[in-house]
Amino acid sequence: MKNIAVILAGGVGSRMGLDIPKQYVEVSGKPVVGYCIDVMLNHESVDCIIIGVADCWKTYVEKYVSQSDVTKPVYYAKPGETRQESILNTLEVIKSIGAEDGDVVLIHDGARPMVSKEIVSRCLEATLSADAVLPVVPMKDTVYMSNDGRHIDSLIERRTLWRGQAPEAFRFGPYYNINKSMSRGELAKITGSTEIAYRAGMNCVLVEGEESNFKITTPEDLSHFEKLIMDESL
Amino acid sequence: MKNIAVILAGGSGSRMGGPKPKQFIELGDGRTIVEHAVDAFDSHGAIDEVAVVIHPDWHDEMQKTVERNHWAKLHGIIDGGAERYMSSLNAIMAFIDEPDDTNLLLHDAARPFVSSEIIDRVVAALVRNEAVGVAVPSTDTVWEVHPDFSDVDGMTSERFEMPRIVVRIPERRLMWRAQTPQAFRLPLIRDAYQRALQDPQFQATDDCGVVRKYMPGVKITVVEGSEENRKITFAEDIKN
Repeated sequence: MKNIAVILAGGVGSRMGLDIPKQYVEVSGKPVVGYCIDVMLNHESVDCIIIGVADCWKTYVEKYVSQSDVTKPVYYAKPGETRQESILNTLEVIKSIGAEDGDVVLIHDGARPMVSKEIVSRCLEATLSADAVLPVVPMKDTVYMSNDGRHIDSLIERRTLWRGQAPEAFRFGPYYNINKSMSRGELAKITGSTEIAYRAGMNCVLVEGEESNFKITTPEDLSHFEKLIMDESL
Repeated sequence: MKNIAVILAGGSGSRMGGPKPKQFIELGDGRTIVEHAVDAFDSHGAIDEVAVVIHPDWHDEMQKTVERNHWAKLHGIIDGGAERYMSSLNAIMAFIDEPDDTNLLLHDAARPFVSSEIIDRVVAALVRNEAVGVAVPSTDTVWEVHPDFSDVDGMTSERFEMPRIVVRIPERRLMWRAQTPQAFRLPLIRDAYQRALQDPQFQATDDCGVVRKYMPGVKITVVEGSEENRKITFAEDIKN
């Protein structure tokens, strides 16, 4: 049984300005996505990697991968218009390289560079007894439910709430089928990749995530990451 | 209509001589978390008065902080309680004699980066609304589990087998993450807490939660917060 890591790095950023997608910003000489690629290349349980990347960034990523000492098969997939569509594209590539139904696909965001070896191990280990795995962290804030976005309808008890992060692990066969069976419109509406596995009745498990495994979405997140890397090197 | 801001800095620090609680941690600019929080309200034109609630063990430290600063609107340090809701309660009691159209804006000291725009929004909403909260949309997928399986320490993959224990995945669109300040007409928050304390099953949530539960007829308006107004819980949250 193979463990196939997927890294979603498909954003293109704004073509007009100096905005490059966060995953390609270089921090200490390495692009944000590079930190993820390294973890997957170096993890003993990961057998091969699929990287979702836009055409205009493909050469850059290929070059980065070729600089590594580690030789693991690396394939590329085109991004879709939405995250779940991008995932489907990577699943198609995985299908085309002959993956078996029982293989595991581990889907990670290229903009979460602090992913650790340990969390990858935890997610993969959990696939021994489940077909979908989501790492979670506690919800720090109280949550209000609001239908109109202007008034509070109710509160949810915080201690029962968990926030999903990445990587998410899935049994390839069933997960591929679920995604294939959805229309483009349905795929576009999906906000949580594990949610569709859950709703389709796949045997799911939540495992311990890591607070440090945050997603870079704002310039502040990027500065925060830069600071963490600089502190680490001291 | 008087606006009184209360900075809730009553949090942990129960060990005398122990490490300072987070409200006294200095940020990159040399000012502490609690100083940032007070600054935000003291410098705001629509705020008439500021008070700080602090754990009794740290009263002296706060006193020194007040003396070091020249906050025109900070008149008092109020003792905090063992739990957050007790601090809110003490603040309400401290201002019990204020006129009925006074607003109390209760703010977590652990949110030092609250912007003047957020305070503007809250103050504006208070003109016609007697209860105002601050929130941001939820950006993560959130999973709600059965209360029996909510123990963080006991978290292993076996304990979290689904679907048995997942109650629901609330629709993201409807979920908002609460922030502060949470602001109320004084009589409203006073009455809400009075009723809450009479309930043997009372479980503290936040101040909006108390009003929602014990004054169910009251509409609580929510205004937009910001990601910057996050609660500082770990050292790595401190960005400057």
